[in-house]
Amino acid sequence: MKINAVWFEGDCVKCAMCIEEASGAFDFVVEAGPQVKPDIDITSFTEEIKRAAGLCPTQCIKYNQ
Amino acid sequence: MLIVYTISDSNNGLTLQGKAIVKTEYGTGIISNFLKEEYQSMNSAMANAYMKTFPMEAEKKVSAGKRNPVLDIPEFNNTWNIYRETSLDIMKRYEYMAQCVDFTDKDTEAIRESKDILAPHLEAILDHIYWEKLINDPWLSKWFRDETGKISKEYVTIRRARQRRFILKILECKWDEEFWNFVRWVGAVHVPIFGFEDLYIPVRLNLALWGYIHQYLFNFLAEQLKDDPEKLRRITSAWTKLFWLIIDVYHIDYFAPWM
Repeated sequence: MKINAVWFEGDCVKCAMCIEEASGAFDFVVEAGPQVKPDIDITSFTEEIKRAAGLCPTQCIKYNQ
Repeated sequence: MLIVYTISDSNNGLTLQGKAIVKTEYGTGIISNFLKEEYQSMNSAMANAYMKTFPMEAEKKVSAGKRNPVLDIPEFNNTWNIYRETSLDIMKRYEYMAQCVDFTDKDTEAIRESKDILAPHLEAILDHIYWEKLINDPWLSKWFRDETGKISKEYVTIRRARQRRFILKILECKWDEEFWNFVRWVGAVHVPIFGFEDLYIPVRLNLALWGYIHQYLFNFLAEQLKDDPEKLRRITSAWTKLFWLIIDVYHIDYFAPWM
């Protein structure tokens, strides 16, 4: 099932692994940490986002599908 | 010792050449005309130190016209090709090392088999390695402390997560170029080569940690598989071989190619 929304929630430790796993969907902003890239088709990054969410040490990545 | 000089003065477009037979601790002779001052300048404490460090420089040079025939011998030629190819191509390196340690498809299957045993306990294994072993070791813990010397829980969490990803990648059992480049990258960021130029983790600490994880996993597997010694042998044998393959690639960027 495709993801139609993704966001960050909770205490991100800024390990940046999510950016490594889903560089098409996420960007790393100094100070703020990882952000969802604007104006992208989230559904096309479903697998990468799920993998990043599975690896996130603080389970900060939330999504709807 | 016969010294042949060629001195260029690019400002004046002048090139001076000459020969000098000199007296040093390596030989006796005379030094002639305009090159004397230059020679005396060269014959400094630094030059002496250089000659002591590289005494072969004081020996008579043999003509370079004599070629090294070692590559005419097929066995040595083949060896050179293996060295060259395994240095250039990470997959060839893996393939060569795999056949050396006898890492086969059966071993891959055994590691895949171990996923069912390890995956359910992965969090506990990682907790032990990071929250019990690493942060309590007097030297290993250095890299997990903040500027006041206290353990940085946030940083330990990050490192633990990265180790978790590494183990999950291993359990995927895809020994392709992407995997081996990932292993190489993990090793490379522990030395001041690329990305973290101010970081250096000594090799002995890598070996200490890999060694610790190795024995910890084996004891864990032995406990889990105490009723199935053949499965235990199969899985621990496969993991042993894989550990050596990983340790090789992990340390590629720790050493110069000739090492």
